[in-house]
Amino acid sequence: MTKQKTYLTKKNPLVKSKINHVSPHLRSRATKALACHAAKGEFVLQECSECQYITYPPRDRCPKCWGELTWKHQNRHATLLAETTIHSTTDLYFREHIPWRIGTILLDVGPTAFAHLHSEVQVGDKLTIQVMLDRSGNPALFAMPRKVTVNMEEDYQYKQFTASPKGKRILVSDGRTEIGQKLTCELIKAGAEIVYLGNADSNLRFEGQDSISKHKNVKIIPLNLLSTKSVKKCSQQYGGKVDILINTASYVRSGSVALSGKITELQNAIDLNVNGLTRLAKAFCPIMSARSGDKERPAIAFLDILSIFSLTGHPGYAGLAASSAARLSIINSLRSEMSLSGLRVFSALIGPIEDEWHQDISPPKVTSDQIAKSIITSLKNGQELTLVGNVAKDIFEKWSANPLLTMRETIK
Amino acid sequence: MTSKENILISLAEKISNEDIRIIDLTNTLSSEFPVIVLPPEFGQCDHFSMETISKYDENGPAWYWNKISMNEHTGTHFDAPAHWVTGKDLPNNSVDSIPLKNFMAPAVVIDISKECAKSSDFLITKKFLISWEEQYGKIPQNHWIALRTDWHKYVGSPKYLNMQHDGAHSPGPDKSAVEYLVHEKNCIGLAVETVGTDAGQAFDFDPPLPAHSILHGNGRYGLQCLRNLDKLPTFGSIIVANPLKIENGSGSPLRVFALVEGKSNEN
Repeated sequence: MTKQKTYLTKKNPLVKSKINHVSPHLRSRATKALACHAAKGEFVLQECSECQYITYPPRDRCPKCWGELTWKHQNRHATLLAETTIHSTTDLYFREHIPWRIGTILLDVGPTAFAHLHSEVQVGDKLTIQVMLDRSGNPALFAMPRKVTVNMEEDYQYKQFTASPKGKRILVSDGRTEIGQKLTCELIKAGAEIVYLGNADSNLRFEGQDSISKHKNVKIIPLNLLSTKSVKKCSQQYGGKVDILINTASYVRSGSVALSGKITELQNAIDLNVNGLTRLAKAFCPIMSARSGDKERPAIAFLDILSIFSLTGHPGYAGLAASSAARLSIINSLRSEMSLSGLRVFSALIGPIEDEWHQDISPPKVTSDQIAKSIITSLKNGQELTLVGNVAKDIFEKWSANPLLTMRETIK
Repeated sequence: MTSKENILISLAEKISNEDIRIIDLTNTLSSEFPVIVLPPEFGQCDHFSMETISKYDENGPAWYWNKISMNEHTGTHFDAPAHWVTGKDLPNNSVDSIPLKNFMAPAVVIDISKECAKSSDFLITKKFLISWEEQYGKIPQNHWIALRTDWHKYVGSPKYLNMQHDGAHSPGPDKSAVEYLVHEKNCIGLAVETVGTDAGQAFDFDPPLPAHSILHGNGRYGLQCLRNLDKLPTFGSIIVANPLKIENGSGSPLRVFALVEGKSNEN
């Protein structure tokens, strides 16, 4: 059993917060490829297409026969051969986290490797291995106990790779939507200390307002992503308290490029979906980055929810698709920028939602409930990329294999 | 010619020494200022938005300026006849073609603030206007008709738009009142504190939105989201309302003010 952390602690305001440092950046292209799989929570290792040798760490060619390596899903099981605890290091990131346990593991599929260790594993134990992303987006193996134990996600080292909502102060940017409200409820269920729930127009009531307002862990705050002034004001008031920021805002209208759809609707979509996201990032990421190294109450994650049509375009929702593509691009740039500060950047790519704005799209569609639960899972597991719903999963898989074909297939 | 003989010089002197006061009827343009809300399937009115281009910084070391965007009908604004389908074929129906003389006209202020305090849905009717005239005097020809509702005091609160499950609830005129003001009083237009010249529930009136429909169909104007109408006398003020010269513009945000004779009582 892992000792449970006590939350709701107040920091001593006279103690200088630790400056954020991130783990070392020097990684190969092959390692970055592993990071892409780790971002989705996949356990993959390279396998030689000539001699079937499975290798780790990532390489460019097979170390046995010089054959071509391909990424394949592998059995996650392993045994802990040896362990050591690091008490001294010159690395600025790990200096803040010592003592730090690492070990040598023997994967059931063959390779031996270094792995970060959960506090409950001992030499000789059977393990389950995860490929996790560290605070600068590098993949690393993490050894977990084979059996699920009480509070196992509370392990100090494990928590450096995840963004669990437990005990966290979370800003959800748009509480006027069902997604914002469902997500808020799930975050509270997952142990969030408080959810600051944005309301773009305090003078206009919204569906669900009464019930969500009554929740003692929810504070509805003015936040209008269309207004730089409003976003700045919000960050001035709450930026020092937000540990996780989740952008649920989205502007969705049907319409094509030429025959239907309007420039004004595209402008509205760009202003909320792209500029709104950018306003949030500009206002909150600097202060969150400055707090990402804090040991007691670090700011840990920025998550954006966007349409899977960002990858393909969509003839009936051209504005949504175009603004989502720009949104995805902004998030990718932000992720790279934030990797220097240790603030993790997450994306949830969703299929069409079961709501009044997606009436022209045939099922299957995703519900707010599915989206909310998937986001909690992604934060808990530290997965930077989540695909919500069968449409999103299907499009992503096809797009990964053949982007141009997938774009053509999205045509009605 | 001495200044005493020249009306304009005399006016300037009176403005300077505050024998004629200028009352600001304009609300400040900001992203928070409410805009009219239509059913979601229609195109919507944008809020005011402002992004700083430079403020004595690396983007402009010695100068400050902003990029602004809004709807023609955002904030305190002017409605031209072209705003409504009934006025679409009239001559000089857009803000760039309206004769300039119409931008400056006397106003009569009809105070319905007590009635509106009792009911958000208060409707001003021809019958009410005739009764009002018996008490206060005839509504003159060629005036702005300013409806003092004190609604501007609700700006910043939900009560301003007063959006309920069945739509907005705010005061305005019915068909009989607008027809009376347009056809019998030849009004310049209707000047209101609410977000539109029509009542909140006017979409369900017959005809729908009678103020927009009848005013603009007869080449008259609208002024919305005003404030300080409570500082104007019933008769004798002049409203100066100059919309921006937007090509084929249906309306425009503007700085609208009134000239009022006499020293202020406020000290």
